[in-house]
Amino acid sequence: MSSFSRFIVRSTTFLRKELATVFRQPRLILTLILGPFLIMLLFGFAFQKEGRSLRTLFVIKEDSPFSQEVEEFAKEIGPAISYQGSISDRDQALHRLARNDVDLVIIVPDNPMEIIQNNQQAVLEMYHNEIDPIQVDYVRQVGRLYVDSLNRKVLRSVTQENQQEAGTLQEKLDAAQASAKAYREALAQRNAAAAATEKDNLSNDLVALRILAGASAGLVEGTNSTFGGGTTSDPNQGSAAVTNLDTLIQGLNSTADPTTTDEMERQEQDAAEMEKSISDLNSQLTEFRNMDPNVITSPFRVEAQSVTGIELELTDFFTPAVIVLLLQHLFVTFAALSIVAERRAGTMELFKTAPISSSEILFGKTLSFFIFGLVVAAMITLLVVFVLGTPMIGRWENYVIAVIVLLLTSLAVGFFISLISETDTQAVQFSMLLLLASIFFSGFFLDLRLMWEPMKAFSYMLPATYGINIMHDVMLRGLPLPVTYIGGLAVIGLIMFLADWIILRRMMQTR
Amino acid sequence: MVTPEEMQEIDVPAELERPQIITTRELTKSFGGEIAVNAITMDVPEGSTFGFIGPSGSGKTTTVRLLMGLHEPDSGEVSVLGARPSRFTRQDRERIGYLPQLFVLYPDLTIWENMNFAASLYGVPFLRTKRLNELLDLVELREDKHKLVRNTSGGMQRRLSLAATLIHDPDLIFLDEPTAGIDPILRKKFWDYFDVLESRGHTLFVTTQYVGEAAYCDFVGVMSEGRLVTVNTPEGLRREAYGGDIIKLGSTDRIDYEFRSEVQNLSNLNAKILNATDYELQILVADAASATPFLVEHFRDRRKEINLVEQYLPSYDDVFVKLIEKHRGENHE
Repeated sequence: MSSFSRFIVRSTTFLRKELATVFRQPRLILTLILGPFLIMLLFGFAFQKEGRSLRTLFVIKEDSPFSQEVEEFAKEIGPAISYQGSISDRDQALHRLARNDVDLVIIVPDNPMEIIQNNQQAVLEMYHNEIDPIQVDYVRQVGRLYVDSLNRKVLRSVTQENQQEAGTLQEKLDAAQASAKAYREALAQRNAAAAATEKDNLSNDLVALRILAGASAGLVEGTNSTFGGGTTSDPNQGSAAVTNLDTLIQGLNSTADPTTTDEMERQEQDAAEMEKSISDLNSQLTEFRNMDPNVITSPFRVEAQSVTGIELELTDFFTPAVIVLLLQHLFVTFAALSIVAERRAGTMELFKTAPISSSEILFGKTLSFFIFGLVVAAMITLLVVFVLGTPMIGRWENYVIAVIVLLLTSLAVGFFISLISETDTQAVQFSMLLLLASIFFSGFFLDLRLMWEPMKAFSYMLPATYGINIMHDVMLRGLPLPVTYIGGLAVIGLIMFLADWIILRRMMQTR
Repeated sequence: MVTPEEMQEIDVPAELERPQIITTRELTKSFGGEIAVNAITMDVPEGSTFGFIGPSGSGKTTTVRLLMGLHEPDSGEVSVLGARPSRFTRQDRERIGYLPQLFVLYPDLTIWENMNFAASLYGVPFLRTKRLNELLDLVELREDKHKLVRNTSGGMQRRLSLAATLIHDPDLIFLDEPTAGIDPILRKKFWDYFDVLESRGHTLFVTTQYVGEAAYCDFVGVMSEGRLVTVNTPEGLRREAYGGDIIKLGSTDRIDYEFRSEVQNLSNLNAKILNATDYELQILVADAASATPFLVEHFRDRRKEINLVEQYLPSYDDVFVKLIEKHRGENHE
């Protein structure tokens, strides 16, 4: 028999043994495959995309004019805030918060309008009792959402008032436009007396309009800038609209009564321009009045969507990472217990006296656990993709390559643990430590981009870090295999296998 | 310790002249300053059964581990199959079988699967069903081959271990206390298997605590406190322990002091009375076969009617105790 044939025979020693041992434990296989699937299924049911509803208690003075609005607005804002009532006793509210009767206490200032009128921001104090930093962030987000909505509501209310005010202004504009038309027509008829009368009427209308517009300069300016009127370059000069009105009034007042036909003709042209300016202003104001206050106060909104076109559920996001962690942990543990168990049982002594080399042992054990790993990975994948409905956007061959490299690297790490462990307990402890490190440092639930840069080096020593990135890219983004990640994972595996071989070889030598 | 010179002085049987498959010279191994094996010198002829007997902790297993290449000796020389064990090649290992002291196969596999495991470990080709069945027949486990090992008795596990050790038909087989902790009937069966193996040309190196098992061996090495007290044939051990053969002579007539003195002074026998009653004598002589006719004739000459003549064979336990005491006495001196 050739040496290659003998190598194959010796290597398959472990294939039969390990597979027979594992497949003789159907409960173990069932636990390994169905267990993770059921956990992910329950996880999918347990967690919803919507954030939790915060039971919120407001503290507001009993006689505050806002007490009614606070309740209405809290109910309007949506499921993020669950209105639990308003009380005036701040200490009592905080006590209830401390007892976890409520999740959030919002203290409304006694006199917010007075503060705002004094050119200051009114502060809503918000208290929570969260200890989880993620939940603290969530509470802050809800707080910001609440204040933004409140500010928008105030702005909307101001805008609506301005639109009503614009109605009065428009009546004056209509009158001024009519006077300008009458003035122009009198001039066109070369009726000097009528022109003088209409000129006085127009002047009076413009002055009245100027007074009203002066009070609503912001409104007119806003209307002007929003709808193409531009803004004034000199803030001291007031709004462009007011300036235009001033110019018109000045122009009208400085115009002498016409004595000649030529003067009449020139003034008729000026009157036509005046009429047009007033008409333009009127049109702009009409447009402003007809606008939705929501559009004016929130002109922009965001519509975010994934480039893949698939909206992922929370379970979808976590499933690829769970598969990676699971495969890593299972096969690190299997391998970690493997050689240490041989030492405990005394079979290592048998191997030392038999014509089997350390590379044959390593190859044989790797092959057996690898085949078992492929079976487990295939079953779990079929269940999560076709039963749980986790998206698989990428190519299946990339997924298979990723699983193969992940399994082999996990086994190499497991054998390393096995070779440096004295007992089964030690091997299990090392495997658990690796799992714990992987949960915290692989980006499983905390984005690696949030991590302190030097600590990322540690993350990239863990196979799970590479595995999770690869699976996210392949399964959820539909990208090709990320060469750096698959390469990194393979390099870790190769280094570990080399270390395993060296240690096992030393172990097999005569002492 | 038996030096090469002493080895020559001992009445070395002719079988020892066969080619030596194991040779050690002054082989020494210590652990943490404590000497486990102290300057052992011995030769094991090819095709023999070599019993290595000694109490627990006497250094038997350490010696086997040195011979298997599991330990590197501190000093001395060792050659097994013509090679230094720590430098065994794959081919050397393929010629050796090793039955460890404890069961080291897999309880969660069947007997058949364990046999297959051992076969693959030694590179036995896949077409091996016949060979496996033959070995299971030898150890009478064929009917139980589909049983999980964890559901078998200790004796069955021991037999399985033996069958697994023989799977690759090794030339040299180390059996480390193969009969420890098993009942006398099974022990006898084991020695029957060993006889079969020896008859098929295998060399067996068997360690045991059961002194009585010396009778099954061609040669016996006696270990005590890390030292090899002696190497001899089982019969040779008796002679060595007592300094000759013992003959038991009984008479219906009273044996008085004068007669006992005459027996002891028979010039051509150099006999020594070990034990005497009024009607019976235990006499130590150099060789029972040649001395018995002289003694019988002397009894008749003195008109003593003989009712008992036989060679007395002390148990190996007694032989062993005698040898160890002798060895300790020598060391003490």
